Amino acid sequence: MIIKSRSITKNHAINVLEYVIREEKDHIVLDSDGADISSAYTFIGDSSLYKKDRVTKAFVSKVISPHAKDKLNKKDLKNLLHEVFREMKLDNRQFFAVIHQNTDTPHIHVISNRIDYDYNTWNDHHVAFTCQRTCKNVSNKLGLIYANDLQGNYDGKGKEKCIS
Amino acid sequence: MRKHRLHIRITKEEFLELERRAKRAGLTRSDYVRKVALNSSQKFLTNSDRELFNELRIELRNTANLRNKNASLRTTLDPIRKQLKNLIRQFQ
Repeated sequence: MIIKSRSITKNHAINVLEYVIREEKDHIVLDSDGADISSAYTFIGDSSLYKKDRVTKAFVSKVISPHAKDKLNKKDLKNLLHEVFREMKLDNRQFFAVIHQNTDTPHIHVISNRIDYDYNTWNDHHVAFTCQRTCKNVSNKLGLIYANDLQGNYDGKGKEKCIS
Repeated sequence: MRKHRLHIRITKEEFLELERRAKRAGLTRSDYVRKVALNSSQKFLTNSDRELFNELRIELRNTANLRNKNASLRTTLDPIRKQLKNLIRQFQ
């Protein structure tokens, strides 16, 4: 499993939302909270209820991609999503999560508000390291494959090396 | 960065009144004077206003969740959401 995350601006969030609900991506809505998800603009409109003027990058875009061999169903992916939220302290806020099924490995795209329901802003300092740590902890907890454990097993093109 | 200082003389009664109003708005004295002087159209919320505002926000959040889960409820919930949004807009 790998996790990617970054803070994004409002306009970037609109573009990401339009990307994640594209028809060719064969998406399924996994979960959401606190915002109308019928379109990108309704989500952004509802998220303006929790905003701070000085926070310019007010949204968080996240991708959670478990390994194909884990073979997780929708219920498992939902459990994984909330486990990641708990670990990264990204719960208690508006979010929208979808699964993309157009690739060999179904993965989750998440857009969430950086400001939670109690008006606390999520700290995005060194977020790459936070993602790495979360990925390791959650993989161990749920018994999933952690990307770093597979280092050296693949060539540069994502194909498994033949060990003879 | 706020570099400049402003000194003004006021009576004790004026000072107490200023402090009371700042407390009611949930701001410091400096913030209150700054906001009133520079942005006269600014609205100030009392504690009861804030409670009502939060209740409206929670209600809007719940209706959004219901609407997302149940497509058949859209026609009944959309007018309620519109009214809630209008009420919230009055506070902002």
